Amino acid sequence: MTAPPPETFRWRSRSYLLAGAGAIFLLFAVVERDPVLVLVAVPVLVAPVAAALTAPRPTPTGDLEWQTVGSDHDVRIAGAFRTDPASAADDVTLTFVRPTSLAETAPARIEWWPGGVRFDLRWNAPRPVVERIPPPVASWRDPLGLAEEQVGGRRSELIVERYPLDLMRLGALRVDRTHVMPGRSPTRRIGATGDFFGIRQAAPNEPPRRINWRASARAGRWLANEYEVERTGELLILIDTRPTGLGPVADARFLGVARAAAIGITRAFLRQKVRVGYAEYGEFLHAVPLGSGRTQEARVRRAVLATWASTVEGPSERCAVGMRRYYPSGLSVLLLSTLGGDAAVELVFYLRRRGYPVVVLNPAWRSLLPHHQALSARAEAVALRLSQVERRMRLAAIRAYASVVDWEDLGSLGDLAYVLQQPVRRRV
Amino acid sequence: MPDGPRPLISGRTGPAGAVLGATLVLFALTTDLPWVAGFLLAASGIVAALVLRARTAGARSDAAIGIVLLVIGVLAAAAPATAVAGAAGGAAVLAFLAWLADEPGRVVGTVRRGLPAVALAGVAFLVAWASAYLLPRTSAPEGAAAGLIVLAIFLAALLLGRPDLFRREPALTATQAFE
Repeated sequence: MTAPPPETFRWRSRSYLLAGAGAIFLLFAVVERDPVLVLVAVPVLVAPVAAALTAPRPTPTGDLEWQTVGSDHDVRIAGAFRTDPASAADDVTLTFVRPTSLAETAPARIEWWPGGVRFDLRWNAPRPVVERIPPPVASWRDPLGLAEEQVGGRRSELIVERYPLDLMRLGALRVDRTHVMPGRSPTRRIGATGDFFGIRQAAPNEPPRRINWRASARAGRWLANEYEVERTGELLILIDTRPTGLGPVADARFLGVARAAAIGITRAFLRQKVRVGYAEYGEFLHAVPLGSGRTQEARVRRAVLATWASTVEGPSERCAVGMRRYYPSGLSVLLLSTLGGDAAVELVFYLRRRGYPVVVLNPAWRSLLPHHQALSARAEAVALRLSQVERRMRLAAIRAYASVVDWEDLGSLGDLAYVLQQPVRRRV
Repeated sequence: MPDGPRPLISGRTGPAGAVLGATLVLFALTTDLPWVAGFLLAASGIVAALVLRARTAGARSDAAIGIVLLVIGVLAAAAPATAVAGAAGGAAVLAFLAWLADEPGRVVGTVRRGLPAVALAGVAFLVAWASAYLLPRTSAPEGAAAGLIVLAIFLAALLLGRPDLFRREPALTATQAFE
């Protein structure tokens, strides 16, 4: 990632203040015919230009080297920002943007050294999280604080991953035959005499009993029958990134948790040879088709990291319609959603209508909602209880269409494993 | 970067605030205001600005700058058109610029690094002041006008020498356009 071009010079607010004051002095000098006001106005007007003229040329650049250290909940980001020319380092300021899913445990330590700036940020991840930390904005500010210029150079973002190992230990789960569509009764016989699924390209050592002779004759190439029981499981992880009534802070925190869960669940299922797909829905559907293996893991991980909270709420039916372009009907869908609005309930309904069995993984709101400074402790407790009642009502509404995992303990996916191991859709 | 501790951030302001206060009081004493009123105006202004700057940060601390500019403007309007009053006013403004550099929370030595900018403003003031009061047989307004003309020429020369102050975006060459 390359930093924005260095030609981003701008005057700071106090330079406008000085220019305005100088202009007023001149105006009064003309009206009052007072030379002292003119003499006072001259240095006031010259100062911003003089400050800009003292800016180092060429525009300073800087290289950022930073890394994440610490373990468990502790997120410590340490690094150095080296400037060129080195003399510009004293007037360089770094502005860090802390994601809302991370909390600050101690004030940032920023130290200026000859030729560079060192920093040490101490943050905390109170819940499982995968976050992208944008590179700090580096700007050179003249000593009088009148002009500012962006410092160019190469900077890369940082990825913070914090989730307990329990999130990765889903165990030996297979998601085939996990959900049975309504009105469908699977046969009890297994193997080649079980339920017919479809026709596929025959392997070179395919047994003759598997070959579909009629289809092969029609196609002119070897085709074989495929049965339900032989297929690996398939799972789609869908994150609902639409804005909800919980607010942007809770949505951002949910997204951090959802990223961690999506990466952990994907890794666990891919290890069991399950074909996993990934999709996120904000205004439009962004999908990674089903696949398996390490390549798919890298593909899903890249897509998960590129997932951001959407500012526009797309209609729920659009998601369900878009899903049919990428995924076959009957595919098990694991929906990660805050259920912070009626749109999430609609989404589950439309997914079921399009033939997708849905399991909803819903993190508890109390771990996502921000602390309200304006509310007293008692009022906040009441508000929290009301929000819990609302959430339970949403969960009850969704249980009519899908299995629901009430994800209270964000450090474990035991409840999800329990639901996925059930042979038929059931309530938990 | 070499190892070893180095005093970096100035947690409090340096002597620039005191210098600004002294020059403001001096300027107030040269005006036509009663000396008590002038002294109170200058003293209350600098105290308010120092307190505001110490307790606020970011763009809010610009209010402190506004207070000092207001005091300077009021004193300048009340000052007689004499060389001493003009010099005192200029000194107050230059001290004000040095005080801008003495900002808490920045790396120590900011005032020293800001001296070139203050010196440039001082040169412009000196040209205007000298042409107003030191040139033979000229009135002060004519001198001020001459000073402004010199200032304009000075600024034009400097700005023409630094076109990058205006050109925000780099020119797109043909090679870059097709990359």
